[in-house]
Amino acid sequence: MSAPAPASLPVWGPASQGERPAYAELDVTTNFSFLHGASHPGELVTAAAALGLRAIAITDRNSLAGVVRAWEAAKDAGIRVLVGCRLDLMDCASVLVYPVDRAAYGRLCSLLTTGRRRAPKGQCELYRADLEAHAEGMIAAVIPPEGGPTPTFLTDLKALADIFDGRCHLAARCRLDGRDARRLAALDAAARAAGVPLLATNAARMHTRSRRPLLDVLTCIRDHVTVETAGWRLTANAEAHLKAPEEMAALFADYPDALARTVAIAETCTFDLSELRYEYPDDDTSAGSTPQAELERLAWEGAAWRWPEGLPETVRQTIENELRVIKSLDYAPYFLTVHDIVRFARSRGILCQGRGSAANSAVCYSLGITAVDPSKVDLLFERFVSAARDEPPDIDVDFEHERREEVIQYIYEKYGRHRAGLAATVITYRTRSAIRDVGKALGLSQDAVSALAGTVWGSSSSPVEHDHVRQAGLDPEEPRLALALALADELRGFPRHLSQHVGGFVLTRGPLSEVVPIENAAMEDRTVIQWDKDDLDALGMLKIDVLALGMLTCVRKAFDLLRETGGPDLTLATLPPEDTATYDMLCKGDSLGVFQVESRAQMAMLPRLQPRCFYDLVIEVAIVRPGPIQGDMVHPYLRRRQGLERVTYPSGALRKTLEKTLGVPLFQEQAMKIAIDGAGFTAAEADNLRRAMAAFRRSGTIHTFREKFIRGMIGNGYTPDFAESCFRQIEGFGEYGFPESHSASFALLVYVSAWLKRHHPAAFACALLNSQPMGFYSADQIVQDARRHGVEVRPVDVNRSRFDNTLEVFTRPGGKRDVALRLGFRQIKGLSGTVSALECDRIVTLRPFKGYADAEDVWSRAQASADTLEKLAHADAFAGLGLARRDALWAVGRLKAAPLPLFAVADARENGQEPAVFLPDLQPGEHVVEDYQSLRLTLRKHPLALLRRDLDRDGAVSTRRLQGWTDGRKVLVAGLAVCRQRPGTAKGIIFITLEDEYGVANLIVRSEVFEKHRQAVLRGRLLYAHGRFQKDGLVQHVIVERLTDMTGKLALLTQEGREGAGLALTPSRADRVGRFPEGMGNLDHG
Amino acid sequence: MPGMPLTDARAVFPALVVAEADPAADARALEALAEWCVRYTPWTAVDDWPAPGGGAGLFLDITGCAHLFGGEAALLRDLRDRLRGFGFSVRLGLADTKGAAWAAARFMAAGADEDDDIALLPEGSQRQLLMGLPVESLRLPPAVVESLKRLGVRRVADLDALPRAPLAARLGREVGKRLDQALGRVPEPFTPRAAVEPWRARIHFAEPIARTEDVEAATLTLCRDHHPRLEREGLGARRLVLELFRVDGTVIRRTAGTSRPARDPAHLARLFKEGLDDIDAGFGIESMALTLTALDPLGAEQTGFTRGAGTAPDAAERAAETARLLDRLRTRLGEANVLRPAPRESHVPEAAVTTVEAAGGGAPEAWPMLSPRPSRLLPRPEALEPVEPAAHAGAPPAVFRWRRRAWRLAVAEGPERIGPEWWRTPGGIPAPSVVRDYWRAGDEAGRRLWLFRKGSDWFVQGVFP
Amino acid sequence: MSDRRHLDRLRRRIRAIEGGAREDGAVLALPSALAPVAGALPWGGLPLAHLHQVVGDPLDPAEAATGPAAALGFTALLAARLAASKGAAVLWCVRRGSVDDTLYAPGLARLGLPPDRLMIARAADDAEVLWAMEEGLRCPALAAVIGQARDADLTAGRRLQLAAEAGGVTGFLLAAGGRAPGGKGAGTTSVAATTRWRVVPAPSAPVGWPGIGPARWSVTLERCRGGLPAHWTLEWNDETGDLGMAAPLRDGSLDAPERRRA
Repeated sequence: MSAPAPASLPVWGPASQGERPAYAELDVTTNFSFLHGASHPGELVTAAAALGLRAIAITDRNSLAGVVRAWEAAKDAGIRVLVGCRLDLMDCASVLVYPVDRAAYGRLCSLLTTGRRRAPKGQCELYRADLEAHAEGMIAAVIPPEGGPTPTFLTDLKALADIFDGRCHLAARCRLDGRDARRLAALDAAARAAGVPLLATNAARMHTRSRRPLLDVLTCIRDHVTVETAGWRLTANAEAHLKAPEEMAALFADYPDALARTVAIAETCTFDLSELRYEYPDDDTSAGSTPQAELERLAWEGAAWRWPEGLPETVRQTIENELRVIKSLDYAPYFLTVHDIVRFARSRGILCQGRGSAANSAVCYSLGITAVDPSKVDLLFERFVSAARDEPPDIDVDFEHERREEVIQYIYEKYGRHRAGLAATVITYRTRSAIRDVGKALGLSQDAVSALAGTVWGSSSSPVEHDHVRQAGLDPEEPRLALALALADELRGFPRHLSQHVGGFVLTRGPLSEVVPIENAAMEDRTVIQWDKDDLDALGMLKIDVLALGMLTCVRKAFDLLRETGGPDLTLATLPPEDTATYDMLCKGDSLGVFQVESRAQMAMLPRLQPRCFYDLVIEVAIVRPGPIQGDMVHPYLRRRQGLERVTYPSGALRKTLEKTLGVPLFQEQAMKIAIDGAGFTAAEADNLRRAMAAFRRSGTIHTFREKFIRGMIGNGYTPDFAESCFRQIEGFGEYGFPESHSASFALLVYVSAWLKRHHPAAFACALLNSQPMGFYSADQIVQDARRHGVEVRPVDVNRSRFDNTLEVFTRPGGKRDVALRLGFRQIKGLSGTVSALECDRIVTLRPFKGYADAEDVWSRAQASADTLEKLAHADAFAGLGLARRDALWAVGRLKAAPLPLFAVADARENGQEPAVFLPDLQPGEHVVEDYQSLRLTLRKHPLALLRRDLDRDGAVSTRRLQGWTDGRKVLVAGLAVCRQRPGTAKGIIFITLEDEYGVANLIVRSEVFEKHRQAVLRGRLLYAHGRFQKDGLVQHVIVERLTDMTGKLALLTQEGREGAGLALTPSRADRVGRFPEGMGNLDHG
Repeated sequence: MPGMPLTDARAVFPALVVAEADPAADARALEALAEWCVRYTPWTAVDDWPAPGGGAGLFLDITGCAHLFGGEAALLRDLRDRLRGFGFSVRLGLADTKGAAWAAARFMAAGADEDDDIALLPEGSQRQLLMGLPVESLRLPPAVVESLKRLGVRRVADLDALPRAPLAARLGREVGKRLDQALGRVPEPFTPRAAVEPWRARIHFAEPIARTEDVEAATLTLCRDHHPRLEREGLGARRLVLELFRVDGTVIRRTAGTSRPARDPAHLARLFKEGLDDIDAGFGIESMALTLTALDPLGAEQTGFTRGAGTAPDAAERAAETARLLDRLRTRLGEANVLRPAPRESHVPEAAVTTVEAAGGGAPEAWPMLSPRPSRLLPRPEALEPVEPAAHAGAPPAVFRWRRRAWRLAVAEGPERIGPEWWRTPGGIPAPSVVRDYWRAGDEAGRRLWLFRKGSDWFVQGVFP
Repeated sequence: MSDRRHLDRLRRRIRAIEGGAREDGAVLALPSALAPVAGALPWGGLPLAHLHQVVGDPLDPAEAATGPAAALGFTALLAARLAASKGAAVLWCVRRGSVDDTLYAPGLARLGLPPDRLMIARAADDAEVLWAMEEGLRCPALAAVIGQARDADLTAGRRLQLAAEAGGVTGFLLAAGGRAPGGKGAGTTSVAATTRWRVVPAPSAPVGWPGIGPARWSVTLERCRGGLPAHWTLEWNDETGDLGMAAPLRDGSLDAPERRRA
């Protein structure tokens, strides 16, 4: 009698016969309306195409952030996407607008820019008057209130009908709330009264009804409530999803015109994002010249400067070839702009270096953008800019991290904010943040949420593993928990907000705000566009990456120090090349502080790889990365390099590609070439694959390439094993793509920093300390390492130190001139801030020629605060005045209670006859403890030297004796844990570095051992490691079998036991097992 | 380890059991323990010094009490054993001064061996014993302790050796004062805690009573006994327990509750009226007690029972009167049968109503103007039997049988689609097609029903007026 | 018509001279949309502090199954008006587990009884319903008491009437039919209430969309102390909450436009 249970929900009203009704959904909220939409733009577009909609408009709230992704997806799905926007106005009903053509699109962008620029970050403030000023060429649909038209709304509707004369509609939607029929009747009447037609929409916020739970969870996250308490905020049903034309036709059976109008609008709005003709600014072209001519002139001038002895023929050909490609693609203005920015930096003495595919070209070298001589490194020029693929060139320029802001402000100043904007970075939900927000929304206890989040390493993007959940003491099968895990999985990858790209600038010739909306960034003085780098890529828009790099700061400071202390005057390009002593040092794994190769994994790799030339460093930088490791390429490469395995090539076709890496693919470019030459991909497909790799996290689309890739490889005669490992490597690149062109630029910095460390260890250590925070190691480790390399390090002294660490020139007995490193006030805990820097500067500037006499002298002359003086005293900075640490503290203590120095000097001097006080002398161990408390380092004896007798009794072997240990022998080593790392690439293995007075020992803790000794591994300061010594050439480890936390022994350093806990040796930033992000190859190192 | 982030602690010990700190509950428990210690001495006090490691402390002034327990040592052991029996770990110190006892308990009682958790400082020797303790034992602020240690001043003796004036100039006068207090050079006042008087009134009868009227009269007397204190402390009773002690030793208990705090004796007494009709007095009742087990603030100004319009000057009186009516109704009909419906934020019709005890309290004031709702909702939806299908798919059947009667629909409007509360359904998220489609349907006579369809089945759930 | 009104005023004055109950003079003014109804009542509105009886159709088997529906709506609207004008709550007494014990607060809120104006007492039997009603009627803090007891008789009615007069609270005895008309247990027996109304559903007027129009009730004033029986058709709009006179249907037929659905 009744209809059988339907698979999908039934349609009301008469079923239409014959032809399919035509419908276009014009009200679609994607997840780029953050926490409002429950589907990705791509999902919506694909679903719309599958449902057979004529077109789909993307109408996010006051935003165009999602349109490019939708537009891209539409290319594959075969459906038209209308660029649109939902404008939520401050003084009027919300309106959907659709620009008809390019001009109207430009007006929409500037309208949004207006609203965004006048509101705080993430918000938009628009009024009807703004809309009126930009309305030309836009079609509008006014959104009525949920309950139906109200008197206010009718007034708004009338006003908007006037603004959009003849282009205004009234958006009507069936909510399935039991009142649709009467609401539609009321809306119809309202529309007639206002003289605007009715437009059918379904206000889609998800692509399928099964997203309702996620939509509800998003609502909860937005309103900070749980599903239990959200109540009527949640949806009653799942109807806000894309519906098939038939279903829409049934819902609007009484208003067929409203349905037909959707198609009419879609046909009227012809604007397509492909119409965005991107034009690069040509400001740098001198009058009467073309950009190309200007570039060619600069390139040849630069070439003459770079090759003063005459241009080699090959280089000349390369330059000519490159200039030809640049000309054919009309990229000259882009190169001129990069050149201009680099020239500005150089004029300010800001160290910078370009990298990226386009950077490693002869033209860039000639223009001074890069410092890597392309004739010495054989780089794949095809990747630079390929004439075949219309892919924009890619140049990243690294600047000193402390001075990058100057460059950024220069760019804003030169091009104006209407033409320059930072690209956005879409901050998406990671596993951890997703589980946290979903857990909260589902009302899981704070405790369970943090336990769940704790099972995720760092900023991982892979699903939570059930085993990990069980380990955290939770049951993943428990319904509410299972629900949370499932929903978090859906939420993962959802955009959460727009942030600014680390430094990607978009510059245009015309107003940028007519190309894309510009909004305020969180940082003052920054503006950011609504699209990210993938969007820009997709549209073929160029950006310049203005990045910050700590090592450049360090190198510049080292160069400055050398110059000031009578050393050589160096630049990146003039450093003596291919220095044997430098390579010798690196081959030993002696690389603390050296750019990129200072991590434990890199330190272990150096002796195996034995770098002997610049190109070896390029490989070294690239090899310890998730890509080659996941692809299992590292060991074959090492074996071949050591001659243990014959160098073979999978095929003759790939020989050329793989020759320089001994037949083993290590670079992203090689993976691409394999896809083209090996798996038969077209260049465009390989390009898509590369994009998929970058967007791996976001879309997971890389798997669609998998089958094609493997099939292609096998089809071309490669073994399935080789195909598999190549693809695994490509997946690895997805996490951290690392192209050869980047490696080459980084390798130069590796070489420069290693050279400095080898030849000027004092200046290098000093510059490193003054550039903190950066790198892996703590000041303590940097100082200890410098001393092991023969640098004399002198203590903080109120009469000798400056705020920064400095070099002091002195003459050694025997007349040899040398430099010593003097620690600065910035090393003292609590004095590193800007305010303290000013105070310290005052202490230095007002220092009398003979130096300060005592603490009170500093107080009254430099008006140093008692607080600062106490810190100085605690750091033993008065020792040079003959004032012992405790006596200095006692003396300073009195100043704390005293009035302002100016009035009190005489007072204190005359009336201050205090009885003499005898404070107990500090024991050597106590000094060490106090040093660590105040400076986080000591120049006295190493704590372990003081405990040595005790350690000997326990049978512990010092790191000095360990040098002579035989491979495989049992050993007990003792030391302070200075570094703990758990690289994501090392299968749960934890690396611990133990330090004693002679050096360091490297421990390897397997996960079984870790589980047994968690407390010691994670919290112990002084550790006893029992294990087996392992020696492989220069690589030495202790494979730990048992680990004991002996931190209590440190108490022996002081008079009595309890205080020993005060030796809270501050861990270096690398010493964060629980927090260290997965993978270590962070490009923005430092 | 105090101050350790939870994530770090979990990394070290994954199976960590975590409990939220509840300082208020801890304070209450400590207060109760101080109360309990009154068995030893009337002068007990809670130690409010933030002790290192968080251990809570109590002070007992046992001057003149020890002999009752067989001497100081015996008293300490007794106290220790009983506290252990409650499940506490205990350290005890006994000395001439409050400060020395504190130091003894926290720095001398080790707690390892049998009697090591007790440190009894013999009279006279405590100065010497104190001198060897670390400076923390003087109840000094952590910053002061830190400064002293940096100066190498670790022991009380080191501190005592320093000249006072320079010391005070650097670290404040507190340091010297604490030292002198501990050594008994200056007195430290002992402020015992105030005892909490229970909310219990009792009446003894010269002759056992048995008649209901007498019991009622006595109940009223008890209510009157509570009244002055309730008024003084600005409280009203929320829950009352009346105990009738029979001559034979058995106790009859009656409880009553009020919907809002009340202290009018007549009203409170009336709450027991219904319950006292059927008591079996046996050989008579010799005494009665009335205990107030729950109280709430009751100011002179009372919150209105009704809100919005009509807040007449007598609104407060009216509210009180309404509350009394509710109490009477509840006493006879039972708590569960006197309802004040209140909105609950749910789209599911059955779940959209809850009940509140009293008005107000943060609940939403009304249901949103959703689609119309019936004035009657059946306890559970009742299936109907379709006789003639609807002209259009999805609409309710044109003719159906329900409750032994044929209904012929003339009009219907809908659907209102309501999905399940997916987060509440056991066994995972229900399929998105599991929904109810509600229709309002009227027959030719104008009767209106609320129908819904679930899958292919139709149900009646409500009746419209 | 004007004669009739004049007569009503006279009657009122006489009643006032006679000196009735304490609050005899107080009436609930009815909205102007209900002027004809007010006109039929000698007091010019509904007298307060009295007992009123509202019954449904005792012959309608549907009401037997679902309890009074239209009568319930009519009673609730009157009580809600009382509650609003007095700023006080309404006590509604029903028999536990009976068909009447299905009150749905969101629906009652539509009738003007929001949560802070409504209390429901669920009694075990009719005697308890009457007891609860009496307690309520004696509580001057209430605006009205509605009771649904089947077994109310003359004595019970008199008790309630006295309680209403004592507490100054207006009472409503609400009953559906179901059993033999007028028989004991039908809840429709005479209870000596001041007024007695019969309210049954009526077909609603067609609307301009495929749906259902405002509810219509056929309201008969059957008994009225000092007044004459009268009959009206009223219309209640559940969207706006308004109660008014229904526009007469031509020839009493459903002059509906062609229905598109259902």
